[in-house]
Amino acid sequence: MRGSFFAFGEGIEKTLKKWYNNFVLCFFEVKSKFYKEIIMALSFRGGIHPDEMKLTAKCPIEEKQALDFVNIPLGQNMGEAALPLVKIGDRVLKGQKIGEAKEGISSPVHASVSGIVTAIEKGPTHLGESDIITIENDFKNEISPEVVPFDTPISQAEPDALIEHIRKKGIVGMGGKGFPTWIKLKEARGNVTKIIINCAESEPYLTSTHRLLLEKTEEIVGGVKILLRACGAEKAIFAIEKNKEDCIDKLQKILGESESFAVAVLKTKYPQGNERLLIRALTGKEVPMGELPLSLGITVFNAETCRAVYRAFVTGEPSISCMVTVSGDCVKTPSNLSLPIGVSFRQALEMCGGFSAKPDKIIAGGPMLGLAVENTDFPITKTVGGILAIKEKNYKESPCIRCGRCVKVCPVGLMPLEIWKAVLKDDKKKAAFYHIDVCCSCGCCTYVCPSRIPLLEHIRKGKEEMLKETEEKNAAKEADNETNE
Amino acid sequence: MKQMNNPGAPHIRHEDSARSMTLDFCIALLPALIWGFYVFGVRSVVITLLSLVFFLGFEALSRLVFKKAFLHFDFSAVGSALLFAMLLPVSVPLWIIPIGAFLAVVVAKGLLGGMGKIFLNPVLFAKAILLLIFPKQLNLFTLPFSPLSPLKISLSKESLAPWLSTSPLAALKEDGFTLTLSDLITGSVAGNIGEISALLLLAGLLYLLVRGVVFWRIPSAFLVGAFFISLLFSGEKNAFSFALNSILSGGILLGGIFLATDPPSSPVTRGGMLLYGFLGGALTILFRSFGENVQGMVFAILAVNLLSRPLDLLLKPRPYGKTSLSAILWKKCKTLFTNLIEKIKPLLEKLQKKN
Repeated sequence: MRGSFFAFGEGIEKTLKKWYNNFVLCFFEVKSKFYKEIIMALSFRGGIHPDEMKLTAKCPIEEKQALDFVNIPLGQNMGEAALPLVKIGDRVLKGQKIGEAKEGISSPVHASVSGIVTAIEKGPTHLGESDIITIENDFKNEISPEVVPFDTPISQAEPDALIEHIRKKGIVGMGGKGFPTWIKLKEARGNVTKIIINCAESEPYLTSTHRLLLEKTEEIVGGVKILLRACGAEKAIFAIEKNKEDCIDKLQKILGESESFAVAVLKTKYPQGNERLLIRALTGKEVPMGELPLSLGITVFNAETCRAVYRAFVTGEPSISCMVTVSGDCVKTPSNLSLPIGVSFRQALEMCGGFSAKPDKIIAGGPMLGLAVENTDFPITKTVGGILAIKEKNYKESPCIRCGRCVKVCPVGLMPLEIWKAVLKDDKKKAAFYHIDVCCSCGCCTYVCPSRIPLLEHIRKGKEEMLKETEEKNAAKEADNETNE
Repeated sequence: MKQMNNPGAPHIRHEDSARSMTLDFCIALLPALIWGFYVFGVRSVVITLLSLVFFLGFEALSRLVFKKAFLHFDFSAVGSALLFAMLLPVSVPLWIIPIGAFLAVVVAKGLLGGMGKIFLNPVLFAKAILLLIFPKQLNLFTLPFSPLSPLKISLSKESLAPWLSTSPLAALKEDGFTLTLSDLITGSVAGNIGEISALLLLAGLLYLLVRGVVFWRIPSAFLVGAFFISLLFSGEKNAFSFALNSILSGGILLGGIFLATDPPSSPVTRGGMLLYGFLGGALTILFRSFGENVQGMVFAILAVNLLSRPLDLLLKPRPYGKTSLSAILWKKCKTLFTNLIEKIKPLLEKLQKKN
């Protein structure tokens, strides 16, 4: 009972602080962006303010070495998996290409340690099943002769050459989805005027971008300059949330007065890191339904991807390590680690001192959108941003009371309670009437529902069925066209 | 790799549950209720306790009858019981309470589908039917601090006679209003048990807003609608003071804060909430001014409850990346208009040439 009284008082204090920040301060605070173009820290409607739980915000990044062996999956990015280039028994060196990209949306895969290949077989990862190459670490860390820095200075290089180098080094978007960066740059060539660097880390517990911005600021800015030249854009905007004050100060110091860089301060809200919402907050324009941000002349890149691009040019190092925040209330010493790809979840948790209490769930990613992992032997891929070990309450579902909180927090302006009802009844027309195709799967509605209804699960199911239907219709149309011809 | 399935996401949840929200609702009702106990004496405590007993009893009975499980205990029945007690005058005969409880719990909540599917406020449903069947008993108001016997089931007219008074509403209508503003605000007036103290009701509203149980749109729209329409219909009296007195008497505050915001029967969209509140307040004043029965609030909120689902459909929020319905309609109107003008132009020119 005592605990619940304290939580009660804290809840009231939080609401009063929120009112003060949102209504009183915005009249007095000058949201100063140091660049001439005043970028208003607009925000989107709705959104939630979960407890930030940034336990590792003050922990510097620790470089960790791999242990006995690494399991490198060949399918780590969005699109097609890579084809294996090596056989069992081959000796590979650190940075050597071991997976060749296929045609289409694909990216090569490189070895993160030097050693002997002991197995190539299908195995489970947290993203699904994929071919996994197991390399036994010989602890010599011999670097492959392929790891060579880019030869010409950036300002004189051809953009096509830059894109080819990025492709060779297997750099994919490290914000979570893993879309190959070279394809993004190719499509953006000539179409973009601005790029946005997404430094907003709005999920609780995760701090890897925060520490990267503090410690490796020059590398990130260097990477942004390379990306600017590669896609032909003129301006880059760093989008940071308000709670990272030290990063904002450091960035502004380094960038100084510049024609092509700007720092925009956004409100601290989840899901601030969502691409479409970020564009609306920074430019006031919305990406029309069904189109990419390219139609507005903007592309969004993650801060960690920019740093990987910089290292690929300056040292020639391909994408073989990943920044991971290991955190949660069940971890002994939460920390930010820079891990080689292929280390298992269990090894990463042991590097942080193991468990201080038995966790209910181990999550790959953030607590809002991350995947719950059952087997801690899964390997770390290029896109894992966090490993969390948390305790979870058992929530029972009760009937919907139509309180309207889900409608209030939806950042894209939908009515989740109606979409959920339509999906339960399998009523596809009604779901389309309530715009199920706009849903960005952020999870705000499920977070806030007092009846603990799993809204996100059902809405995702509805979206999947809708996609299947459109695919079948397109396939039927193509079949019709073929028979007509 | 297509990964659409993520069972269990998000893995963290907000700490407010249905149980804590209904408990907060009950807590917000308590200040005004306790003031009612102080002003109206022991009989009001007896009425509240009986109301609690019957509401909870009928709730258990209806769960057995309608075969719903006994899980999901929340304080909604307690909240309805307290609200029902607050809507009764203290001189009401005690046999009205079980009838009201039956109407609210078994008929309204049970038959209309239980928690979440009810589109009417069950407490208001019960009070409306009671008003239609027993209007005399429910419209007898006594002076504050009048000593009425607490346990006598129905008070005879002779024992009530020395303590009777007209309700502030009837006085407003017939020009006999003698109460001052401070009387209304602090609550030393005649009326139903829970609706006399404006200050304590507003304190309850503040608590609910801070805890996030109620959104600010419905209560404020309700009060604005009532104020605005009573300004218009003040007749020969001083408009502003009439409007202010209208808001503070007769339970508009109770209705706008606790009854109109009942989650299952109120809209969920932002525009819908504003229109619903405004219409509710406006209809209350209209029913009062032009109707026989001065308790217009009950019927006004019931009427607007029926409109809450259509209002939701009409005033859907605009999704990201799509144009809103009103913008599409406006564009269509503009194109129609320009087409019309182009068709008419040659005719106009012909007319001009003829001239």
